[in-house]
Amino acid sequence: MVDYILPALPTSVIGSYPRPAWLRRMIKYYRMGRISEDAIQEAYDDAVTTIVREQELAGVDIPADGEQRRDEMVEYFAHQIKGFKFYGPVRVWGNNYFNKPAVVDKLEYPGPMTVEEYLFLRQVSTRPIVKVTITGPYTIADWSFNEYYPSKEDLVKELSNIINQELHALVDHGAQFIQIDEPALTTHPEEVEWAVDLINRTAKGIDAKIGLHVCYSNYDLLFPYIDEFTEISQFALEFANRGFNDLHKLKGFSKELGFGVIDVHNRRVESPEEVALAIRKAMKYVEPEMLYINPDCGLKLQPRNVAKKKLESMVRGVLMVREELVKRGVRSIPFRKRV
Amino acid sequence: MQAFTSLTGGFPRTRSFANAVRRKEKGKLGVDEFWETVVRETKRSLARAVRYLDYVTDGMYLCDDIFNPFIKDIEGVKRGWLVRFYDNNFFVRNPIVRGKIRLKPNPSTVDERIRLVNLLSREPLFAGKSFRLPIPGPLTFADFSVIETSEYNDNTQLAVDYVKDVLNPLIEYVRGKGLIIEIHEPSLSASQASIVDWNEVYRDLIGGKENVHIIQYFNQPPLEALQTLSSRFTIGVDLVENPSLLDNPDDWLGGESVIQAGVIDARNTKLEDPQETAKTLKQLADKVDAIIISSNTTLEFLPETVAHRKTRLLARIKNKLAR
Ligand SMILES: [Zn+2]
Repeated sequence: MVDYILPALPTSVIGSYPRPAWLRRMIKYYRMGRISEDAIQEAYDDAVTTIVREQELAGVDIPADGEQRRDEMVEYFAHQIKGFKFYGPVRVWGNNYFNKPAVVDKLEYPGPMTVEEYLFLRQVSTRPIVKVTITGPYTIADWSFNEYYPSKEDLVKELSNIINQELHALVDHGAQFIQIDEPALTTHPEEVEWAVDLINRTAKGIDAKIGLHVCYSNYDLLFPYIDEFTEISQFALEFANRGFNDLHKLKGFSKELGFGVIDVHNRRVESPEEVALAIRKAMKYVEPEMLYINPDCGLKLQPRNVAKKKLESMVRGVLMVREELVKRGVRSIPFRKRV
Repeated sequence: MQAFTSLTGGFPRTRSFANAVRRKEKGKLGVDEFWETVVRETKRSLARAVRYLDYVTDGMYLCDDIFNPFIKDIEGVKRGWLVRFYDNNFFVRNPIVRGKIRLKPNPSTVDERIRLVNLLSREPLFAGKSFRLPIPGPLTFADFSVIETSEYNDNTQLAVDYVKDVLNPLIEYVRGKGLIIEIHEPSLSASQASIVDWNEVYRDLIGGKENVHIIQYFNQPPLEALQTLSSRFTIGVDLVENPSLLDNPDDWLGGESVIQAGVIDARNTKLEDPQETAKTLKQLADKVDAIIISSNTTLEFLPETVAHRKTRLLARIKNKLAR
């Protein structure tokens, strides 16, 4: 069923976006006990309003809320799902820490975790389609200690049930495009096979477009499984960081591709020409009707002005290619829930 | 059979320590102030752990990872980018090999670590402890290296030179200072052994059981390599990931041995049962002369509170084993 028509090469974001400096200050004050719960919620709302507007002004067709309310993608859910415990931070590299949660009890769905976020985003965006992001069951498990479940597979299975309930809740409230984030998916090659099944289980019976974002991963391990992701319609993948090498591997790609054209780990702002060139290269292997355009990953590690400029460049590059597509008779594509 | 306990690799770096490192890097903290913080934080953190330990390390407080900053002490090597450390959500700086490698005559990062060890060993709590200095092993070094020079055609050549011109001089260098070299060698694995000739690489390594401890972890090791190396050095095995090693110890133990048994899982917060663990270790009782009870790998994968609990467990296992 086609509900909406989108311009060809719809532009979107992966999720996270730098928090405004004033929000970071407010969070600090909140943690010091200097401002109230109401005040911090208002600050979050204001930040989302600003960030969504910023994406729309840059020309992004499908905005997200910039994950302004989330400190970290696993922590955010582990704090809400019952059965997790936090012992303290662990180092990930250099002096960078992660509050790695531990599963110490049977995990239980706490009720909607992202529905409020979605409803607010829906309210402040002027675009017909918005994107909600949710961390996938495999990545939550992989970035946690498991003290309770007999195996990691059992843990991921439990999490897939929980996330599935969350996806249902989102759809019940009107969400149409949900992206599951699984950056850890290919970390343990021997686990990919069952992880694919459990990601399908996570998205089973969901009447919405379900995307899967996998970044900084071994795509040689992922690509052989693409057809087996029966419940996933789009893969948002990172290519700018790889210098757009290996695009030939996309030949025969059976799902929509969310093509990563902006390197989020580099402050240099790509030119629109570079973006257009990369898209033309991708179109050698993927039909334009199956192509969405986005940055490689969340932009949250960039200074805000750089993030904004990167989005503007991305959209300008897309506009250049759109003009060429018009000559080929391609002006728009249907918003497909299933591919 | 004698039993000892040991810290392996690092101990979780506290946030306040990390802040001090950051401020020093930004030039906001002077050298003297920084050293005050280093000694205070290391003492504070390790002091709680050291009472349960016979062997202790420098906690790797001055290291970001097993390669960085150690590789700054090697001529011909440049610090690379962040790469995943095996299948962990932990990232290390890889060595970029630009020319023939050689330990620098004044290895300043090693010197700083030794300085910290010396300051610690003066403390009453640390009296009588043996100190180990964690260093990457030749196969692991080669495995993570990016070779950008015609000096080396393959990893074996690089690893051979690493033994001859980096490790051996280092062993000589620290021998006079009463330190044990703790060689981290996760890449001594069954799959890696087919790519790199471990036998050739380790042939010329100097030192012996007393001052060289080679710690293998994560991957399934080639049994022949364990046997050969354990006849010359103290070997550490990962019994968390490779419990089957206990089924046939004769297949990999090389005569009168001291073995480090990595029985505590440093990658999971779940606490082991000391009774059960001691029972498992008793299978080695008539096979080895001494056993060093430790975690399978560095405790840095754990939150600090759990690392302390796991260290206490080592002593409890040792007590149970003595009974
Ligand atoms: Zn990503």
